[in-house]
Amino acid sequence: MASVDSVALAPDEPAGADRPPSLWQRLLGHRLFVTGAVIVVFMLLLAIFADLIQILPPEKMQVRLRFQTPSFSFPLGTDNYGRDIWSRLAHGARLSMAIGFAVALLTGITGTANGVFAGYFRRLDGPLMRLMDALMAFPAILLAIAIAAALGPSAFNAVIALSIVYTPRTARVVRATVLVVREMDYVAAAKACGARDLWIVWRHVLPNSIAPLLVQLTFIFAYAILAEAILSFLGVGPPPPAPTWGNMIAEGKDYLREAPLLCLFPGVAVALICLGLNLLGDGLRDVLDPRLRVQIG
Amino acid sequence: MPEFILRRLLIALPVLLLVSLISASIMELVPGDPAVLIAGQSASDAEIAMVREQLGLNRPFVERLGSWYAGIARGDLGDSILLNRPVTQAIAERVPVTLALAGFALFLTVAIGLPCGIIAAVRANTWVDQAVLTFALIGVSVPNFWLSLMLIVLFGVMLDWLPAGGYVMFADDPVGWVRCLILPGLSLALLQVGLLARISRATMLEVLQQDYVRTARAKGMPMWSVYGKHALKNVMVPVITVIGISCGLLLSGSVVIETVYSIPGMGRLLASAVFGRDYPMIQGGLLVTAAVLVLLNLLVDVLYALIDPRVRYGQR
Amino acid sequence: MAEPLLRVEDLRVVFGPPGREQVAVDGLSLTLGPGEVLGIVGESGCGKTLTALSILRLIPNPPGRIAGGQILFRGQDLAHASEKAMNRIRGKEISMIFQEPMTALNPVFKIGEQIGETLRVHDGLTRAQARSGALQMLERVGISNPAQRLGQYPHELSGGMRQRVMIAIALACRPQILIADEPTTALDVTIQAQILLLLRELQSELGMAVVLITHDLGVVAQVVDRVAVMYAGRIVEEGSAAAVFERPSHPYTRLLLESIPTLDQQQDRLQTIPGMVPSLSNLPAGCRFHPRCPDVRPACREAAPASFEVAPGHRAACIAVNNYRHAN
Repeated sequence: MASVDSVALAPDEPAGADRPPSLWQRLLGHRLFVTGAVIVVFMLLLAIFADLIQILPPEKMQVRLRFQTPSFSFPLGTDNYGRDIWSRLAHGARLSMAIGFAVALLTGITGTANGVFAGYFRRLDGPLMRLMDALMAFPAILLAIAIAAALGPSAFNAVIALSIVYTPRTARVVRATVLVVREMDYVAAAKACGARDLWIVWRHVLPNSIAPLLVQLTFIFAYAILAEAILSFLGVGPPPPAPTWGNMIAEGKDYLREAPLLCLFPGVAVALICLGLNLLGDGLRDVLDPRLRVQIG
Repeated sequence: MPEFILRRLLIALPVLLLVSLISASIMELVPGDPAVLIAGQSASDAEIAMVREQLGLNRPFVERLGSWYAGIARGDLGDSILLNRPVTQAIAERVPVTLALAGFALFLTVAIGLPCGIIAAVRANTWVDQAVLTFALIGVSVPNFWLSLMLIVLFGVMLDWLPAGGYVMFADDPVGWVRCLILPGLSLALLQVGLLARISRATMLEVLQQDYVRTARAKGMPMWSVYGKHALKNVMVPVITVIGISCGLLLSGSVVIETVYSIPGMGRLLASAVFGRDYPMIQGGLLVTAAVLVLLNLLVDVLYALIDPRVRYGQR
Repeated sequence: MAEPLLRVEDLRVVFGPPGREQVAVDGLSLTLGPGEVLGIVGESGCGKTLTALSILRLIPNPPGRIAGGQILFRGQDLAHASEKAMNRIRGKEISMIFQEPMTALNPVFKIGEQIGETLRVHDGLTRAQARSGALQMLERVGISNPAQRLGQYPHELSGGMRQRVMIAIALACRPQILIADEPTTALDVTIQAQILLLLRELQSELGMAVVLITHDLGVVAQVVDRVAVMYAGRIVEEGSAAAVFERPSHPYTRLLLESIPTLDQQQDRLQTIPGMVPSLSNLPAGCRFHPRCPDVRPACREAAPASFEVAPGHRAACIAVNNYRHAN
């Protein structure tokens, strides 16, 4: 039978034959991504220049100037020890961002390793993924608290605990990509040419995993900051007087009635940076890999 | 269907085994001698020795592991150091409270998150959609313990509408029980509402593009049937999975929320065990929550298969 | 012919945001009599599917919408009818079946439910009545073991079976018109013939009118009374199947027919139409076919040709036809 099908004509094809916009152009054209980026960069600047923009050292107490309301000399007021909240907030940004970034980096490495080994070397898949399932079976915060409590409260141990908790989530994303890529013809071709497994992983599998991994790590950055605040709040993060946002809220909660601002500002800071990172992650996902759905922690 | 459940159970077993192993290993992470840490700096050598004996720390790890599993088989998770009573007993007492809180939060999650996400998808790119997306984004960004504090200040202190914390038994005072759960339930649910709204919006948008939705319209099905029946049942497939994940997050969140609102549930029990270095309690609590979650996910898988017939036959 | 059942008048369908619209169907008119089988033929993207979808007002909006014209069904203008009124017509008076039987059925509902709910919504049947109605329909469309099939899900059926189920759904309420959009394209060749045969049988049995949309001239030749050939959003030739196949008058139709491989002629290679289908964003002026037309004239580049009568009931939109007529 005759078919007169020829070149398909999509009715919603965009007009004109412009060059497709580059990755940067698409990211910069994404309104939410730009909003997120502005927030994150602002927080990053706060963290980097905390020493320069501080009014007082974050742990400097002023017994006579406790519970000051915001004023010209103390833009966000002072806390129950008379410490300047603005300065503590800036240094808190440094701690939070550092911990969040370290967790994202560490889970990026361990999650990728696990995901690649599980996805590429089929024999390891069962045991590794069952282990990941087991780690995922625990409520994330509960496991993180238990590990952090066992290791002892410190910023370093918080990073370790959160990395253990979030590694399975990264491993799953990477494994899923690897499972798709390893069936591709070009991997078969590379194998036929005698390429070694590790070379194939490095040359073909990893580059394809980068987009979903980057999206996932942005979200993990946000989760880690949120979780670190919870650990600090519960007393298993960096111990006081370290100016983490969680510590600030924990200390402020005893003065909720008299001075709710003590809790308000650090909470807004946590929400703001998480909002920024979530927007950034959404934007990256939209641009890099539109098929990815919302990832869940 | 029974075969499907059996297959799922077989996958869950090694996970449960690993979960129990991880729970048992938590104490091994403690640097130095846990007995010294538990007994305290000022404890005498005899006291430390007693703690060591009680926790079996003078025996090798493998031996302790053996008695841990023997205990699990008997339904015995050891004795709490702080409370001086069996861990299982303490947990069993607290479970109903946490279930009530988590159940209420789950109800709020589904009752708010699902309709919001679906309406946003049906009205995509309108102000309704924008509002839902903004609300959902705030929901997933705001730390729940901080939100709790703010709600306490606003409704518990300034307006004095609701109790700022504490818990009364349903049997004692049903109205008081509900009043006690409103603020903690809202604080606990906000994150999941945000997640669920985002997921159900994304899924609904995808489903509305499908041919079978067009078929339903071509059949002359009224709007409520096209959205509420033909699209919704397909949306429920991934949404059920998310609800399963939400249960884990709710238990996670209850640790914090119960602490802030002074609710005597499992979360607070475990949080105080963490501060008191009550390792048997931590281990038992971890095991129980993880086991509950594994079984819950099993249940989710079964529900999933009930909704989507393709799953049962392994075609998906 | 009696008063037509369906009359489409000057239909315009556009795509894209206001101000940057692209015209996908441009001033299309056609009529369909009771019990008549009309074929709409054309290449992918010529607007034939959009024409079908706009009759039931199923064009995804946004981005598409009906921008002008009338669709008169028994005196009622469907182009401007309310959604509620449309729902009384869809599936009841005018039904539609689609190209992809694999995805057109809802995966999470049983076959019986998907057929039965049409009967319940339109004819107000009870669950039990709808069930026996669905059973009858399954039998009628030639599905074996119909009672057992009622309780099965779409993924348990083959592609041909699913298309039969689609037909059962579409015809459950005995509609006046069936619109079949490439109903056999996704099926194996042997199954294609069976489905076409079934459609033919049901058509004469129920006395309904059928609009058969296809790119497959073989299909058209088998079942159609009248045929309309579409090119780039317009009808270029229209007439009885016999007239169009025997005396194709538009150069595009001629080329289409020549591109059918035949067994009796020894051919070294398949005939193809040179050039490409124009994109909507870049439609040529004048006659839209002129860049590919073998006997293009200067006037073809100037203005779109009107539709001229070749013979009674046989029209073609080509100035060559007009000249030929005047020459005689």
